[in-house]
Amino acid sequence: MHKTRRLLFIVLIGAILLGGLSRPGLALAQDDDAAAYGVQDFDKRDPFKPVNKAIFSFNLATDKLILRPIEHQYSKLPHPVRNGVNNFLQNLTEPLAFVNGVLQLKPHVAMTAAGRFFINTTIGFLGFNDYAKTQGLAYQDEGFSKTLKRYGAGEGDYVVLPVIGPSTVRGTVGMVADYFMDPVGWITTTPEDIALATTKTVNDRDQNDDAIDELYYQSIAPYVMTRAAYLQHQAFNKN
Amino acid sequence: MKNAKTLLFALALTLTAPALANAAAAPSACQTFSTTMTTRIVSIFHNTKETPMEKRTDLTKLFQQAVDTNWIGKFALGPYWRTAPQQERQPYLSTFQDYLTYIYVSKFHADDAAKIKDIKLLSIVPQSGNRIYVKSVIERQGDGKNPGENTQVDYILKQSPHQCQVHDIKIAGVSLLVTLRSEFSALASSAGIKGVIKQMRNRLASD
Repeated sequence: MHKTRRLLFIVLIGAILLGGLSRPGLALAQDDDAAAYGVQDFDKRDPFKPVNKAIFSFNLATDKLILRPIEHQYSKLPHPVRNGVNNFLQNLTEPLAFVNGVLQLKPHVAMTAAGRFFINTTIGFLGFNDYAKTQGLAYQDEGFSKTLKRYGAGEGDYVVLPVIGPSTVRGTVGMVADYFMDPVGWITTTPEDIALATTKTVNDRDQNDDAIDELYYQSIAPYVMTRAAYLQHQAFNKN
Repeated sequence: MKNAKTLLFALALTLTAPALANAAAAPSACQTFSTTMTTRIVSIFHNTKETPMEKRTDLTKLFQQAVDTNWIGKFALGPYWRTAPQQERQPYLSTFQDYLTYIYVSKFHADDAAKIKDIKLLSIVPQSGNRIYVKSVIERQGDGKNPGENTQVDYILKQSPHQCQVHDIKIAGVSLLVTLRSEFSALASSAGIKGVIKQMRNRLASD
């Protein structure tokens, strides 16, 4: 099992080193007005479009039939309870943020993650209360994707992942790497992993409820709109 | 992507954005327009006598005045607008205005509007083609323990001889214009303008 994991990890790293993530800059639309307003041809970032569209349809059906109904029930819980669950799940990502902070050679990121984990696990009742935030230690969304970015890896092409949704090649590689590197994953059992993953999926759906509803159910072209919104937001975060 | 409630803040700033341009000594047409709009939007948000439905009606009127929905509608179709049959153009623009207004104004919730603490202007940069790029941050009220959420909202305003109108809104980097163009031109390429109109009408009828 460990050998398989290591092999997969090496293959993914190899894909990055071979330049699979790098693509030339996005071409702007030809007419002047479109260029002035930053219009992009997102199709050029989507070479896996047929597969992506199929997975998107699967995700849409999964959301409609399973996730959305569950989330609607979950959203009836009092806000402090849902907020506590979100804080708890965030707290479990702090060890991983610490590792990535070290890999990025950013001591302040690593120390903030360590500090947050210590404070929230103790004073914050196992992380249910984000006490560290009130002390000026804000949550940092750190993962291996950001570490790759730190060392010059490009965002890569657009990818739609089953259940998880929109991502990029770098985001996908980062997510897989995070799975192997996460210290919490080293000590939890398989049933605990499943319970955490399920809770995280419902929590993520709840946290992004408005945005997902907007993209999946209110758009007249959900696939295209989700892709456009996601890639623009990624570019915004990059800057 | 984080929270679509930011759309509400975008709405608020959409209607106050011209005022921000005004602050940078924008031409007088823009100045008068924006001052009036700002006063009206603030009064709607703070009006305790109006029902949420009445506020929504007022916001709808303001939105349609502040945002150049005709221009955005044409831009969204891209090359398909240029080839659109004459008899389909007016129904398209009319439906588009309803659709865009619905997308934004339907997000209005009085409780959320009350939580907007401040709109801080970061920069106003004139661009070519009589465009003005406005960069701003919307601050929400915190809950006592935690500071409120900040959302970056940028605008592109267009100055015409008689008025100043919003051409684009960017919420956390996601441009309304770019997203609509992608969405509408994709649909137009497969279903034509009639298909786009039909989809918008279906969407409006579904709520």
